[in-house]
Amino acid sequence: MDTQQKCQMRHRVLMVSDFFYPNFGGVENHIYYLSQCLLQRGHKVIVATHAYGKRSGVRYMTNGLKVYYIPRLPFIQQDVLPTLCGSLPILRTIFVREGITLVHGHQAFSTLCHEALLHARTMGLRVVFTDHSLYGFADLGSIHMNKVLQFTLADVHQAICVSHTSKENTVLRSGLNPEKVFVIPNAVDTAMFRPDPSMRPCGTDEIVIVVISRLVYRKGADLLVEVIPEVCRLYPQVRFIVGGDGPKRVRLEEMREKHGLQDRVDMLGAVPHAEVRSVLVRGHIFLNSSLTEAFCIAILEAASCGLLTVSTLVGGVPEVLPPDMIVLAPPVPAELSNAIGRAIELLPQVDPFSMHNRMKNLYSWMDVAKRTEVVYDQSLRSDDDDLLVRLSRYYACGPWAGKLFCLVVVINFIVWCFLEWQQPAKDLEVTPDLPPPQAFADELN
Amino acid sequence: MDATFLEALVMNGNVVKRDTATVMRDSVGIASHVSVVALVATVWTHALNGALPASTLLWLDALVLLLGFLTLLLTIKCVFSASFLTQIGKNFILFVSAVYVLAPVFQTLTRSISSDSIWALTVSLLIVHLFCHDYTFCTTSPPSPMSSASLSRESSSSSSSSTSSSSSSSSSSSGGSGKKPKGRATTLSANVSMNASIVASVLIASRLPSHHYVFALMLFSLEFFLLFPLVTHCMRQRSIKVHLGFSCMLIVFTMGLIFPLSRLVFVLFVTVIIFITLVCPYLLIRIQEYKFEINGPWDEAKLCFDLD
Repeated sequence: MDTQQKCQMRHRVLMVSDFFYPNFGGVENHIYYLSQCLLQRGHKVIVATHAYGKRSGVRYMTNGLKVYYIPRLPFIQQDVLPTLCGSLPILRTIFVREGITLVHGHQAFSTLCHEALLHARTMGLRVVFTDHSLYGFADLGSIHMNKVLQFTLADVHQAICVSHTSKENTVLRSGLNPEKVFVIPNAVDTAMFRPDPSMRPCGTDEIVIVVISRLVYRKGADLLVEVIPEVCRLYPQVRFIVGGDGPKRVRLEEMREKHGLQDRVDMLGAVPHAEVRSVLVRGHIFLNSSLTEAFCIAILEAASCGLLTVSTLVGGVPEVLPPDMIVLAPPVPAELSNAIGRAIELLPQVDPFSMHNRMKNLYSWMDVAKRTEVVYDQSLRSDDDDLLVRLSRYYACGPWAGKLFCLVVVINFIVWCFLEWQQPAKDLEVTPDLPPPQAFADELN
Repeated sequence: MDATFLEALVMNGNVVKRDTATVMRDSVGIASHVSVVALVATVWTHALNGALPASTLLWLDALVLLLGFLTLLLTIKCVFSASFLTQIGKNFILFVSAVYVLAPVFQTLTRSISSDSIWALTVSLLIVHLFCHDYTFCTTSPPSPMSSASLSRESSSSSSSSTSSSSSSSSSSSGGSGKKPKGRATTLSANVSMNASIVASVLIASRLPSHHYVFALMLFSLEFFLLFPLVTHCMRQRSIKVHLGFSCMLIVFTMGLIFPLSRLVFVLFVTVIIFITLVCPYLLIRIQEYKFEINGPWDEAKLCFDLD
């Protein structure tokens, strides 16, 4: 009886996003770890993304995580060309074959995610959406993006944001009811990011500050150009290790030449994610100079490696760590230099291992998975509406947009009806559902 | 939902409230430029009809040049030195002789093209000129260059597009509040506008019978399109009231010139002037209440230092 109930509560989830391995980044990481943990908890999880080069078709990852690389060409910044109904046939086949009950889309600027959520609603499935980044309101690009987001979120059951700041941002952008939005922060694989003080320069009182980020404007590379020489001047015992590549790398190298800091600032270039830990453990302080950040996983990774973090006070950063593990400063060069000074004073009190243990208790992907499960359960409880009720929701989105949205939804519905007639769902071959190994099930019970 | 939700939201935090009088005053600068274009076009028509002999036109050129130079002398805010004057003189001689030498070339340039296509092309080029013209240059007032630059840009955007939506005003205001170089930044559109006006002058001049005539007309057009904005700019730098009075005089003078030419064009001109100086400012002030700008902790931080 107990087992049966467990089985009923099992979700059959499809994670959809344009961003997944072999690409690397916060969203990719999030989807991977969340899927793995949900699999461990006995749910069925499938990932759908677009084809990456020759990586097209069905692939399996660790623990039998099935990934559909849908053969569609990326059009700009790894996004597929938006086609509204173009992806319905293939996504419908995936939904039906895998017996999906819940579609979980990730990232607001993934076109595949928006399309999949629309199709899932057309087919009467549950949908959950996770927003990973912050977005502005003023420029033309964000006005358009926010309208698209409003369209998708008009009809999702639940939405998840990675920080409270992100939640406010998403609610303002999409006009979603804040009651529907949950905040589930990201986590870090603490087992992977362990401290190793032996890698630090020993025998000297040298202090190493590590920076790992893409060297672009949004990550505050220009701020680094101002802060690094100032800190080197104030604290002769400080050395910098800068990992990452990007258009602003030239400026940093210019700064290094200009101030003659070649022996004190180490530029590593791009650091693959697997080697991030080996760079982090060489330092005492981690510096994050982002100008905008919804959550910032890099801070978690650094803290998990036992580094004291200095960061700009932007976006969701203040929510990430307890105040005694991070030194925050406004994104102003002088303030940031002061903050590094404070961090250097604090350094003797910081024990990397106790910090790591605290992180272990604070953040785990399993915890994220458990909280996401609650959101899934919640979405099952909300009643499924028919087309007319859904249309009224879209219609309320705006005088012009509302009508346009309704048109899109109706067309999508008609295409779905056509597909149902042409190739009924019951005729589609269903993939056999293999239960988890018995030992596993026992463990769960 | 916790109590801190949207606590840090700031609405319309850095919105500049505009008042009708200032906007209207700044819009006069735009209207005066429109009337300059109308004035030049009137002279072109007269010249093409043969109502204005080449010698009269040359005298007119000299008079306008002299008046312009005098105004510049009176209003410009820098000291005149001998070297500066010789520099001006050298440039002037180079400029006039270049136009004189090129006049025969201009005269035969469009012989194989029919007159009505030339007129059509000229009108479209003038419209391009009016839309792309850098109005900030001649309407910038000295005390607060930042705010009025954005103001005049905004009013120019609302005059150039009658459907001035709130998004256009918000984008132009954000452009104004952003960093703007102190000197005159030559933008692409300003260059396009200047070139359009010169091409239009060449096209019209090429329809004239003699190369003296061509020279006189080219000189006249170039004086108004290239040098006149400089004069109005200096005048405005010196005193807004003088500039305002001069602009109004110019508009009335142009109206007087157009009236005998054609009733329809006169009515059209008056409508455009009223639209620019009264309707556009009114619309701009009215759509201000729809301004809705939200800021909060999710905004991308702005760097407070110069990137270069």
